[in-house]
Amino acid sequence: MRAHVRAFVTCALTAALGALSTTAHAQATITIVNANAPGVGYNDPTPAAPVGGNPGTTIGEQRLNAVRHAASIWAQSLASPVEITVLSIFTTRACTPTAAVLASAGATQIFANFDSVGLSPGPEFQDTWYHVALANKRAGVDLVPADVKDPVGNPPDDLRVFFNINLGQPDCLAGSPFYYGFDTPGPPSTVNLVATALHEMGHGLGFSQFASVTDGTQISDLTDVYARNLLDVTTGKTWSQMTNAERAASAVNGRKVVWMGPNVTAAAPDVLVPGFPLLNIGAPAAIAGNYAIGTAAFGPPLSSPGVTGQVVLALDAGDAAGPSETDGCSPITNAAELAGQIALVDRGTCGFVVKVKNAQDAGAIAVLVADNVAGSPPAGLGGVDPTITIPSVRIALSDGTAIKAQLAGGVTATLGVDLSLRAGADEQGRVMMNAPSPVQPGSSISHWDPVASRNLLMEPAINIDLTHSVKPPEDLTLPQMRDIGWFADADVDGLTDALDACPQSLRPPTVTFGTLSTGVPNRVFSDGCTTQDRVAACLAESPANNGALIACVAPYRDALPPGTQD
Amino acid sequence: MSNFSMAAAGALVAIALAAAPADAQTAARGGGNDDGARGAGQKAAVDAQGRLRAPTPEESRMLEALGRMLDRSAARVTPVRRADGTLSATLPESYMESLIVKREADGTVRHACIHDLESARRLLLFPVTAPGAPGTLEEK
Repeated sequence: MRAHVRAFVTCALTAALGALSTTAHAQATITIVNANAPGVGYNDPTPAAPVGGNPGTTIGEQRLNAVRHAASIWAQSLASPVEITVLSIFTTRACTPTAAVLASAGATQIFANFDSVGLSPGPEFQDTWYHVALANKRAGVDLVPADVKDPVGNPPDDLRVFFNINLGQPDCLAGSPFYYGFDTPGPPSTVNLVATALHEMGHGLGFSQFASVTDGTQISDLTDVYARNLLDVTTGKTWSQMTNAERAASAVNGRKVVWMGPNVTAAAPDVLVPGFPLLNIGAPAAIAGNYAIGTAAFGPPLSSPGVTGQVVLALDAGDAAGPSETDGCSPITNAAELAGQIALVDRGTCGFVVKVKNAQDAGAIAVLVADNVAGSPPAGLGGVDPTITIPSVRIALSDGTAIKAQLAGGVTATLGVDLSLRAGADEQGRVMMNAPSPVQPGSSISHWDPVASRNLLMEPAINIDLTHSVKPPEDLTLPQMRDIGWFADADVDGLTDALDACPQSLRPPTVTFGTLSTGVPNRVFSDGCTTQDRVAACLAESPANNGALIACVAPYRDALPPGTQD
Repeated sequence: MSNFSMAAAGALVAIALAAAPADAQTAARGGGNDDGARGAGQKAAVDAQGRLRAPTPEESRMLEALGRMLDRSAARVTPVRRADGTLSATLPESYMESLIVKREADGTVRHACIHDLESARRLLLFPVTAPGAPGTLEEK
């Protein structure tokens, strides 16, 4: 090799190393499109002191900085060759003095059965809806034609994120404004805007499904990538395999709908803490297994290994305190049978603490309160009584009925915390989705079950202990995104890192030697490497052997500058 | 009547039912204890003591606004098939998830990320401390 050729290649390697140093930065471009008019929202000129790392000096600047900060966190976590645009506005949302819509967000479009370019894989599944930003990534190109405009003549955006402009005002959750700092959680009574924006963008990027949770209908009768990961353990079907009626039933099948994606399941042990409060029925076999419970606000906390005993239906007088003989509202009449065992009483009429105290006075070691309305998972037991020293829980009406049906033959139960399970995951380590019944605040299959601990970004609530991370060990959102198809692609060439022979390719548009561009397009090969990668690899393999280096580079000679090819 | 207006009308009917004396008596009997059998299906607001009350004008207006915002009907989404076989659909704002926060009388703050009116109604009209209120004393 001529000396000047080696100089070129050495410079290329130097450039290569320089390029590598940039790959830890954003792998996607997320642009916040400020849709506010001058003087309001993101353009509010009201002076403000910098707060929590947010350097803005006006309210508007701080708002925009905070939302851009959230966008940058997502941009550093996801990779896409297509810019993601987020239309955002601070605007009027529904309010009362004590309640408010903080924000609303979602994808603007969905795609199915799209083609792809280059190495980009296209959809993993046919006849399956993808959120537009994810579809664009997998297509390798913006699927929205450039000439398509929204109703006001702008190119359509990929996500919409709206925030409440009046939050904290006297008629809109008075005294609880957004906090614009980049730190967490912010002052008490404020709402962390960065965490809120992260959550809302998460929905738009892929943490949401599109079927109706009330009747199960799908858009054009097609499933979506999120629904493909939803498994109902009762039916053994994913949401994509269900009929409309089955989906509607699954939406309220509390603690029985789990995320089956492998990335979330693999990451869950690093994120969720050990210990799941459970009722375990050991016998008879017909009803053996774990049952969901609602814990009590009084009495001792559940522990491991917990308390074990026979379940005995507590009987009391049907009187003015409570008309039922199984409501536990009066002194227990079968104390001899109940002593040392787990009492079962029905919900209704009197306070929970009354029922539990009566059972305790009869010698019970724990109490199961069977709900008197259908629904799951069970809510907790409210009340205060410092004299209660035995654990108690609520169980679902259906579970109570099943247990009662077996009492004649004896039912053995353990009430405690199962340390073999993670808080928010099932026996197979799959994370539970929020599917309460009847429909409750936070009802949506598009969130994790709030039983998860540590608290997760995509639970129905923005908890104050959230960090601003979307990754393990703090959070499970990024693994969820991986499961729906946001594959890792550090060099954004469209090929997943797992299959990419050069996962951090050198990708100048033309093959470059130092500062000299050859003008030859830097080709991307099917294995994910580029011409520039090949040349740099040749130099690394034969740093001191000119002949070997030339032979190595020869297949790529078309990329070399004129006059340096021999 | 459009789906949108049907949902809004549904919310208004629910609010109107709040003033029904028979319902009020039923709910009042349930107040002060842990009997939630009647609470789950109520069409009215409940105060912190479990007594039925009429929704405030602010709550009514908010529910009406949410009814418009949250109406999600698949029929309103019209997919388009391109010549190359690609299917696309533009989602209306009703497909957005909405994060609602409510501060109870005792200072408790509840969040709910929702996309249906029933969830919003239950969050707004049932205090977390009311006996029988859906979501009361959830597990965490």
